[in-house]
Amino acid sequence: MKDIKTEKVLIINSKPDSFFVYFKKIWHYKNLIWVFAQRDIKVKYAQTMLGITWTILQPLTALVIYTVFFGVILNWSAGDIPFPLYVLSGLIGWNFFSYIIYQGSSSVQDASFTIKKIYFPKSILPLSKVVIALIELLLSLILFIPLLLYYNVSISWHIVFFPFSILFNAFCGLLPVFFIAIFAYKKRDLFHLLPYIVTFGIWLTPVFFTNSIFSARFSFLMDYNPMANVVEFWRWVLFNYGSFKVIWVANFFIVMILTIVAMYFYNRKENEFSDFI
Amino acid sequence: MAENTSIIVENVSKVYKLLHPQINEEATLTNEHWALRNISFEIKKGESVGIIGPNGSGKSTLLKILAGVTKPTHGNAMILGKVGSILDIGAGFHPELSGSENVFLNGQLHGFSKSEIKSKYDAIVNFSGVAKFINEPVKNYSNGMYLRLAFSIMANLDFDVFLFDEVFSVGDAEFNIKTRAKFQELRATNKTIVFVSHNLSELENQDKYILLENGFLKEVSQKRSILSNYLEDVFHTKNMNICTEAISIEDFSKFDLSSELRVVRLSFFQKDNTKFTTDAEFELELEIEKLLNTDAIDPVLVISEINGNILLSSSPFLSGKFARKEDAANLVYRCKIPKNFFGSQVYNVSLCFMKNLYEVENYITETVVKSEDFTKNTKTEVVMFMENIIKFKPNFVNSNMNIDLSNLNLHGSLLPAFDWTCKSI
Repeated sequence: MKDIKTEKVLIINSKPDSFFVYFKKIWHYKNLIWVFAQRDIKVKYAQTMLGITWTILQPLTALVIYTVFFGVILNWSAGDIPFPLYVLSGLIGWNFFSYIIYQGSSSVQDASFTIKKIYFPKSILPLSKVVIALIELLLSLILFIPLLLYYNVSISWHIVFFPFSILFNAFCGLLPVFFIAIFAYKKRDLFHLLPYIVTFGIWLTPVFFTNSIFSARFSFLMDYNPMANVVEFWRWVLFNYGSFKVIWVANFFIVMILTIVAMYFYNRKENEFSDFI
Repeated sequence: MAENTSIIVENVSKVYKLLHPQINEEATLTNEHWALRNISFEIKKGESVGIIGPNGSGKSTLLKILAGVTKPTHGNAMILGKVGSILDIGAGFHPELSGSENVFLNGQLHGFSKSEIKSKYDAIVNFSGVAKFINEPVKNYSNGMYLRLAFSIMANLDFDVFLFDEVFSVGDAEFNIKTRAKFQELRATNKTIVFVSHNLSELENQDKYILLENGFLKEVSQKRSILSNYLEDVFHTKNMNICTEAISIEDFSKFDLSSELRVVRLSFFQKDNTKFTTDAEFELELEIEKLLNTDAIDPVLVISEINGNILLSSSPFLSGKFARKEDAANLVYRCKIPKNFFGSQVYNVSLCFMKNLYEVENYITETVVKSEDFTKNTKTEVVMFMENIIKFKPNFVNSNMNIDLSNLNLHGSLLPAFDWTCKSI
């Protein structure tokens, strides 16, 4: 018989986990992030013929539409880099963001059957969506290859900051997901806000337009939009496009801290998820 | 926590918010529903525990709290070791994934690493009996296959505590025998099993029973009699009379009438005994009137348990006394049931009447026939079936000994004193 002290005693009570216990638990269950991501990818492409190719077709279509409409018909240009490259580097960040928002916020509802029957920290669900979004982002990077060759553009050494652009981008997506989930698990109205953030947000973010279209009076507004920061940061990382702004760093830390705080409050509520979803 | 304790539950309460307020027992409008109120109990390692109670008594909520799926509103619980649970068929499975992918998904959801699952994978698949379909998506599985795979994962991975919520009813007979053997094995290795079931026969073998009612803990007992008492409680609340002394019924108007037969009287009694006891012979007197003179009608006595589980059928023809067409219209049947045959629980007496058995009997004795000819030629049919005419409960008395049998936890619903002898050799 095992010694009593070596066995783990599970204590169940009404108190929510403390801040550190909570993040320790997520660390303990970190495997599940990958397990869920893997599962969702398998499920997403189950019974499809093109399989993972669909992941590339979606940004490709957006790229073609934006390039033809804005680049060719309206004849906009992006200065230092060819317009298609400008659009694509904006799109990967924006798609990453919108994927996390859409999938992350529905992830708890989608997993309701499992949540009601098996315990695991619920933050695992949005986090696993980040993994999927990241895989899709990496795959859509393939689209750069022909463009870089065709326009004879090379990648900047700033690419070493790639992980930061991913992190910044992920925090931007996770913050609204956690924040809204804290309030929306009982009354779901807030979930209806998310499509607005995504569909209208793209008009406030320089994905297919450049900051130069703003009059000088309004261009500072872009500095307060973290997603605009992210998109600009992506271009700086990939092509040394534009100049590095200190406000990016400030916004990065603000968004990161807010996300961690939102995650913790999400944890305090997640115990009630199984009773309400 | 003591050395051999597995689960401790202390003053656990759980309240759910209702979307639409209801009037509660104190006649005030409230949107609170107390699914559990102040539940406390303890389970030792290696014990197998059955939780019983009517729907809505809090059984599933209790298991959910133990599984960590939902938090108690008050109180706390402690569980030693790893907890595995099947709270629903298909919980922790993804319909689009194959059986083998789901083995890994489910195992990892329960906190096992991929390599741990890999080392048990063959055992899991073999035990489940769904090896043939293990690469098919589980959305094409039947409920029974889901259960087989889910239980196989549970039973083969190294859990310390198992929680099952009413899932075994979808398993077939072969699988039920397998699970029973597995349960024995798990208990022998000091694993703790808790399960909820409405199929009380599934719970015959538990070490302990927990009876919940309306969220309250009504009883914790090691006696099997808690099961029959619980059943009796359920039926009592529906205002059914349970006879404990001689009864004679002449009014059968609540039963369907037959054009061929009328039951005049049914008496059920013990000679020289006002209150029914198990150590005296029961006697049954049945008076019938045949309304048509064309067929022979045989009575069949059916005794069942209160939950409908049929224990036995008895009829005069079993001792060769077939009814004949030529029998008089008014007949009285007498039947004696030996003493020391029943236990002290509620039994149901039903009567069934079958016609033309005699012709069949003649047919059999005169010519040797194949079974298909037999069914072709028989005109046997049930004329009338009167269910649950009398419910009775004898008191346990045994003149030979003086102990309370309920302490013995004997199995089964009948406790007949067969003719036992013992010789020294």
